[in-house]
Amino acid sequence: MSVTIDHTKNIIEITGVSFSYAGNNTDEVLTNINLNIHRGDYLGIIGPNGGGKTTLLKLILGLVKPSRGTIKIFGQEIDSFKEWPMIGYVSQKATSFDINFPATVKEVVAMGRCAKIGLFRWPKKIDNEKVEEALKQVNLMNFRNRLIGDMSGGQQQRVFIARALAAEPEVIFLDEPTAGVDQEAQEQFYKLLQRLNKELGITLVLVSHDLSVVATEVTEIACVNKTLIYDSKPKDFIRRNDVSDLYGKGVKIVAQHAESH
Amino acid sequence: MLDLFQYTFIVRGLEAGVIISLTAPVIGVFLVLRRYSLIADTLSHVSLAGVAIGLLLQTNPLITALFAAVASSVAIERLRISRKVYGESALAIFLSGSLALAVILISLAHGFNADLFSYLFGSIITVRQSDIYIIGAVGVVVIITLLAFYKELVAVSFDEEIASVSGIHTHLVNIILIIATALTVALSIPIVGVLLIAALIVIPVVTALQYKASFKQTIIISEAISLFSVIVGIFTSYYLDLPAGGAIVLLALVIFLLTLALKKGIK
Repeated sequence: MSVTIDHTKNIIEITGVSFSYAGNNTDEVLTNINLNIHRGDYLGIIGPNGGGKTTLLKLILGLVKPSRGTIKIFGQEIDSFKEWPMIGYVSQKATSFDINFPATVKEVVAMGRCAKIGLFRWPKKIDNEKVEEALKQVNLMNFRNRLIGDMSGGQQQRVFIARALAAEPEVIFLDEPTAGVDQEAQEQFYKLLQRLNKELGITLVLVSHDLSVVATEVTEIACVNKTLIYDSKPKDFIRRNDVSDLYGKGVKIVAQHAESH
Repeated sequence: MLDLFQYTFIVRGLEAGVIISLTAPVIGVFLVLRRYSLIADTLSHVSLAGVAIGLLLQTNPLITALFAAVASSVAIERLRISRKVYGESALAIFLSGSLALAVILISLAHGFNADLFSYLFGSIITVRQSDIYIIGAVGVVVIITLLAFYKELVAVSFDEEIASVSGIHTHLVNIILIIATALTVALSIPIVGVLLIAALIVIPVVTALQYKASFKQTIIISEAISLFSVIVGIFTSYYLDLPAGGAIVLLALVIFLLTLALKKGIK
């Protein structure tokens, strides 16, 4: 199964965005970023640690405000954007989750449906169906009554994908999603992402410092190191010398399927 | 045999106790999981200042305690969001500040007496009929509010950042939780007393967490522990002439220790 998508449609438009924590122009973490994310893209945002990848993500998610420039989401200014359930987010798990939290896998996935249901409403039958559908998508239906803390790292990350899916999002942002997950679980995880992108037509934005993964998985690439260094197809990126611009000389891309060198 | 006079005390105590014992663990589960249980302790000391104001003005201390707790809870939350002080420091400022205020006001009112002792440690003898109406009305409002925001509270407790991105108004949810906490703490004063409320909010939840159950089951288990401790505690306190708060909290602690022993036995 595959869906036809108009890849030319912008769902996120970032224009002239700069950001500094102090709010001044000197210590800018990001400078003059221009980036469009199109419907159906599988965009990889890469760059060195401290280069501002996560900050760029936080700007798009409305967690921090730009000091200059504008961000539009689905054509609306970010400040007036209200349809946040259209946006899924999977964060770096280690920093944001208590493994002793008393919740089953299904309860965690249901949390993702919460804002979609809205205030002062109880979940209905359809909501339960969407939660179970999300569990099936990530192949965890049989584990729905297990405690989240009893799942492996790779399974937990799939639970968080399901939590994002439960709101039926148009786009999912993933911040270093496989940090601390073993190799086999990682491969399974990226297969799942491919399926979400190709079969369900969900736009994916993957923030990672892992070049080899990004180069083989994504369809678009954006390199961020204080500013946007490159923004195009991954194959062209590897062919060019941008990697050394980004990470310094001597960095070689090691990627299984990329026709590089 | 109970005569009618004694019977009224027990029934009043139980009515108030049941409402509080059902509210406290629901508040507690969110506070404990968010590492914020110290807020209950802080608001109980603020409530004491409220009680002192009530004694000084010779009005119902429960009402002044409710107002003091709610006003301070909003102030604490604002101070925390402003990041001018650390969350914990905000709690410490309010805890000691209100205790200082309470001690001054009480000595201005009419010094330390038996009445104050019952506010500190709880006593069903001093629960008035008007208190029951207040506890009943406010308690029901708190429980309905918590049910109305249940799914948001769960999502925000698990991961505030994700909840915020998904479109949940986290500031609203936080302020509702803290006001509900303030109301519950102030309401519990007549039965459990200022110094022991936090224990009733925290201990049943911490006990229930040992059973490693789902979120819903955890709430149900902590409700059962809380209800049992409060009802048995009130009867015990009445027949053995002990402070109700002390009896209730010690019972809850015994259940906690039994649970730990049981869990160790299984492993």
